[in-house]
Amino acid sequence: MFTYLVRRVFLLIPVLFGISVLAFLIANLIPGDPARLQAGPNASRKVVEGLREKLGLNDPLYVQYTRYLSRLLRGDLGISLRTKRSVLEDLKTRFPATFELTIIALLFSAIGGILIGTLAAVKHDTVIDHTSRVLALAGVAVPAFWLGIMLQLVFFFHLRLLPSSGRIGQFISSPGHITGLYVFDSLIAGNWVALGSSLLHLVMPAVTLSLGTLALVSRTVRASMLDTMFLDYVQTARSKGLRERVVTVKHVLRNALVPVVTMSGMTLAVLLGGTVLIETVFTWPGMGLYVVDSIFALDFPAIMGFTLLAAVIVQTMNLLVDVSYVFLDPRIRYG
Amino acid sequence: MEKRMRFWGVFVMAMMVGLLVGGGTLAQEHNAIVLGTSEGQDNLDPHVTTMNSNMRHIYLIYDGLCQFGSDPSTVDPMLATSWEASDDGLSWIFQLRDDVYFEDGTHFDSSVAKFSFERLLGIGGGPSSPFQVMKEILTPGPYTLKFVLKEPFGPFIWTMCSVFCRIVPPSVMEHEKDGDWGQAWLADHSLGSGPFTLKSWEKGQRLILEAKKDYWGGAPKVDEIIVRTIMEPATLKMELLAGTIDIAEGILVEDLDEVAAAEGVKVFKGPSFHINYLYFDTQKPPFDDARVRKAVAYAVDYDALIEAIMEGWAVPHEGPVPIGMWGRDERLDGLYTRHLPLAQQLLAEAGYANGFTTTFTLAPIGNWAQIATIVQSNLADIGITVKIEQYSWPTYIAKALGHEVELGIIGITPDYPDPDMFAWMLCHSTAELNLSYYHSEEIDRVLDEARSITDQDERDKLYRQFHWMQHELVPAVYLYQDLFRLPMRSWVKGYYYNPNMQPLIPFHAMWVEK
Repeated sequence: MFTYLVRRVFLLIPVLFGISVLAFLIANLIPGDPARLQAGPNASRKVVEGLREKLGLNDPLYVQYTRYLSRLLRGDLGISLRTKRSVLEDLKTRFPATFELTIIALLFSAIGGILIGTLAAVKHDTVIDHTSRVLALAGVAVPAFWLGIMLQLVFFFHLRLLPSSGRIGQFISSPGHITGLYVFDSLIAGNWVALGSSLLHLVMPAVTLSLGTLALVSRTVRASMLDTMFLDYVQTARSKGLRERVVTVKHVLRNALVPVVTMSGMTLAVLLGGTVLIETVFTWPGMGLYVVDSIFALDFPAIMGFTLLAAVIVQTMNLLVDVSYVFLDPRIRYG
Repeated sequence: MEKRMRFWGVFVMAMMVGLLVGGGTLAQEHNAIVLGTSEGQDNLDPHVTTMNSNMRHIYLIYDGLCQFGSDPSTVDPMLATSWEASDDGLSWIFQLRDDVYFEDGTHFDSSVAKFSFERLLGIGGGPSSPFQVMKEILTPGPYTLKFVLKEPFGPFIWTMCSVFCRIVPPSVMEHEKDGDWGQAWLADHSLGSGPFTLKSWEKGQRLILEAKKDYWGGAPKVDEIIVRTIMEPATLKMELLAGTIDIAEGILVEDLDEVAAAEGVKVFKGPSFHINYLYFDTQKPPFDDARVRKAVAYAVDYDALIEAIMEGWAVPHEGPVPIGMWGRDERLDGLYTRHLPLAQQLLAEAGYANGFTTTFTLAPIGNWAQIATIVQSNLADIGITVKIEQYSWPTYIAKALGHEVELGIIGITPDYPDPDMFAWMLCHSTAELNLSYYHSEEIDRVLDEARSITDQDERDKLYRQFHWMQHELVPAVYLYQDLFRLPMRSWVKGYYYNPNMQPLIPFHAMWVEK
């Protein structure tokens, strides 16, 4: 197992190298001049030319990439052309917001999806099953930005139950920065006001973000459980006189979860991608908003930094998924 | 077991109190103005950024030598008490205040001002463009500052009101890293002598400015300005109507009437210097012929654009210098109206009686796509087939500046409020923003002369002359000039507006009266 883990971690290096080359090329293929964008359309040619020289944009592409790579190996993601701050610092500021939202959405998807999927499988071909199918279809089909605005209209504007956007109330101080995760930090600090506010602010974005993946998880759980439900060992369990609940949870659900766990790696990637839209609708100050602004400014260092970080996250998640198989299915062994 | 139950009981109770308080049920009254804006901020260094959304805060944190007051035709003193230009327009002397301190205790004098301009030029970013004309910065006395220019520059005093040249003290160099003039540090810190200081900034979410009670110009009336980024215009509208924010910037034009009609909300309306126009590639057929360009000017349905797209929140205008600014002849406004027979006649005279096909290039900005659709339909009426191509902003601006756009659209607001900013930038053959690549030696001569003298009456005459010249040559078709609109709750008091400072809000003079 340990050898396997080490091998997988080392495999990350060529993957990240490939992604960095690809991202660098794609970012540079976009027609446009970062120096001009930074200086503004009214800026004189002399100013733009000076900026281009300062930013090293006149060098050949391979020189620019080598320079980037050598900095990257020293843990330096460069300076953002737009914010003028270190990209690493920018990402450190933005990452916790996205991470908090994604994890909560992942929890919503997993718990909600498993519950609904199990219920639909157990009560298959009943009204409950059909309703869950319609909800799943709606979850995938409804555009997230529309749903987000509708939720805001109902729960913020009309019912005044939930805040419309942001991570914390406008008059409430943020909890001190420990991890950057507001819920966790305010819990540690015992700052109940900040905790309440950040929890309330999480509800609508997390629900909106999770709905599509929740639908997928619930359908996968249902299908997987129906496949398992009538296998011989389940019948044996039943004939031994085990209660139906025990049979469903211990024998059916546990075995049906393997494809769900496989999906969760992909789900995280989908959720991370989804944050770009959700963060805009709910002004959630995470990496999604950061990268959108960076793309519009052709901020290459920021785009590269985000791409590499996203790649590391997805790869790590996939690794965790592979490892988790061992615990779910004793037949799986890694050498 | 009992202990665990007790823990969870306390935890749940605490959560409930937190939710109650966090939800705003127990929110206290704050002496603050909350601004909701759809544009995020990313840099607070006056010498680096050219974005309106950043300038709004820089304007409150830093002072300049001069400023705009409530009268758009005058320049008011700020850190400078008076100024004088030499007869040849090559040198300017400013007398400075002696009672100003920065937030780190640095005392303001001429050496501080000199450093600040050196930093602006040393960084060499976008904001330095209007100041490239400076040859030397001298300090004849502790409170006397002298600029020597490379050549006379008529708009010089107006550029001094720009947020770009707000004063940053030399102590910023304590934070310098790798010769960056302290840019990385100042991007998210404040070091000004203005009425507000940066209290906190959760990037992409909330920025709080705290009032300085000892500000030399008098303490602001509010304790804090809370700037909330609310990207989605629909959410912004809901927040304003719900009264959770005091001012909303970025409400869509189509929502303005509804917002204005809501109880407790007012929409401030005033003239703006934001203009929108079509430009052509005047170096290639068919738009190298002035008659074709004129035909387009007579084919566009300006009223439809203003009514259908701007819902009446705009006015027609002619020429690059906007209505409300000196140096233009009002008699020209409205001379280009939709007149299809005349447009068709002009096209026929130019040899395009059967029309032609062209490409309208644009970026997904504001209502440009809607404008393109209306223009497409208008030009179809005189036989011109328009294909619409849309690119992202970086690609679009690269194409526009790279001479790759046959027919395009752009909108601009002034960096400094002088006819030169618009006329020279848009029509001088050497100017970067002359996207039509229009070259007229006669126009160049008039604009160069107007730029080289400081007498405003003389300059006014020259710009009026230019106004007529460009009207005949049609290097661009001016669609409309926006009306400035700022929706706010009725309890917001003290707001005043000057079109010269369009993105800026004078928070230091404002308060809330609930």
